[in-house]
Amino acid sequence: MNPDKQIRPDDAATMMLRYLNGALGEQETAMLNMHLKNNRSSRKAAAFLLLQELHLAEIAQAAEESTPVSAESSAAQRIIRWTDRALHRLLDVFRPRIAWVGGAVLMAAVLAVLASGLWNARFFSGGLRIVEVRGVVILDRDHRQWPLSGEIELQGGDELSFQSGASASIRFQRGATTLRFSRSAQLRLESVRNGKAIRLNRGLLVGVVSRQPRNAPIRVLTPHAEAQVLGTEFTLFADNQKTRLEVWDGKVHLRRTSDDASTTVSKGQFAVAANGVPLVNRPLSRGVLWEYWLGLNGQTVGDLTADPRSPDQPTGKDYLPAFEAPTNWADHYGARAHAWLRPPATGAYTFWIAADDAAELWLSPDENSENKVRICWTENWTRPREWDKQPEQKSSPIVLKADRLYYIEARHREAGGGDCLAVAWKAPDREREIIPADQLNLPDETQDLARLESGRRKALSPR
Amino acid sequence: MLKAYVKSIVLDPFRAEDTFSEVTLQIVRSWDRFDQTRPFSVWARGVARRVALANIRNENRQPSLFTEEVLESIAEEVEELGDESALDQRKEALRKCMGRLSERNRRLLHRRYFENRSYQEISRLVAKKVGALYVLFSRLHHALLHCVERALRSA
Repeated sequence: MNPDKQIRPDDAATMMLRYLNGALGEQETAMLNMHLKNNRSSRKAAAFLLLQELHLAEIAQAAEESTPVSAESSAAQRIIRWTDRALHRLLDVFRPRIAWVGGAVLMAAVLAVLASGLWNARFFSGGLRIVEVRGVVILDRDHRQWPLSGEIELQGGDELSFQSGASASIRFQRGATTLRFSRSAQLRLESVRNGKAIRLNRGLLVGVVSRQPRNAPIRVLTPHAEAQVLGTEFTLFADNQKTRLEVWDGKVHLRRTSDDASTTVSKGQFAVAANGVPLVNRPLSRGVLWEYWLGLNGQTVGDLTADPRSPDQPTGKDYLPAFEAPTNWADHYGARAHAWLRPPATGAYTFWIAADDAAELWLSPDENSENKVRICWTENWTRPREWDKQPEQKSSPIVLKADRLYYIEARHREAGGGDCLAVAWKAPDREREIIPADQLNLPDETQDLARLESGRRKALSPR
Repeated sequence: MLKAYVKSIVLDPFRAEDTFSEVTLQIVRSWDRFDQTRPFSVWARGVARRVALANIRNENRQPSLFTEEVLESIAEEVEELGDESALDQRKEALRKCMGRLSERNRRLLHRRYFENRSYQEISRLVAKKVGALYVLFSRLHHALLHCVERALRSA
């Protein structure tokens, strides 16, 4: 075969696919190599194909990881994903370097404080550390980049890029202020006067902020807005289209940068800053998003996840004011109930699930749904709120931290006859109870749905 | 995207995942040798190439590979598709586009990527020649690409 022979674009695409599967012989590889070298559009097509193959494998892997696992696979084992394993190994290698870098950073911070006057003194005297790093977070400092593998002191001008699935907290040494970032966050610690400023280009920030001096609030700058925080608990999500602020406690002042419109968002409210959207406070909805798929065959929860309509095309959705679905509602359906869980106190929590015909409860060690693991389940039917029929219905005790968000999801399957689903927990110093609404935040995209459907299940009565 | 570069050498999306993990480790180990005046991505690809080729040797495989120049130029094209967030959006769009395929085509994709079956195995299952299957998958990829592009434009 002549390497100089012309290849048609369609043939190039098929040959590329064969190359990517190790099925292209030496001569054909040489031909395609020559073709790609001289043809930009084919190189572009090759790049698309390469990426698409990789993405399909990742989608398959994610589906496999969210498929029910065998009973002997404990939550603790499942929680160690490959990224974590890699990071543990990184930590072993990196530990001596952390000490060195930590020392260097500390020295740099001291010099910066001495050199740059009152504001920097205030900024650094708080001492910012990045802690609890999960996944890959890249630190960019003075145009040098490196992946973080443990705690490190931060300084003004530092930029952090969170890879997909990564999360980490920035902790202030004074007070109990913690800012937790995730969802591919990209941020920079700015140097501004009269306060501490973080530019959040995108991503999710969950903040617990202790009281700050009135003239020195924490400022969070996003592409659309500036939030000023004096002492509160809030979440802030930013992307290139909007900034969404939810306040759980205290108050946060939100200013839209395009027109200087502003509002003070109080406890139990949220506001969205975006072009063409009124900047107004709205009540924050609590509860669980409940999505259901009618006309489902099979009896196991696996039949739900294997259905091509799952998870993106439910027959309908609604919200539940607590973690309990309607009883004796329909036959031959599957459902997914999910929310962000916000524990009231730090401590060990035990969970239970009761369902007819079968259900599973999944919990993430953070706010990221991709990290969820199955913690308890029932493969045989139970009566409504019958928590102790089978040992698998109860989880091991799991330590959760107060004012953190944890993604929680129940998957439910009903074939015929009666049906029910409920999830309970035993929180520290509390009796066992169905997880109440005030500890459950709806996934953010559903807030509007919840508001609109406050009539609740009015049209949902298949029986 | 470094993982895509790794895959273009190890030629298997599942092996790529393991190799990429080793590459990440190697990058940290060799950090002292990185000349910070040079672009990180080019250096990282150099590390990735060494690790990936060593893995191939260890597995006693000898696949025919593109030249370093072509591998680099494809990697640069991937980089031009956007940052991590843009690629995540692309992946999400792809996932949704899969749901719009016909049952038959979705089943084919499932066999290859979810069940990790080789083209030879699939050809036996669907009674088609391997060559015809590659053409079919190539068209499937093309259709998915169009769907993804449309979804990204309308987002």
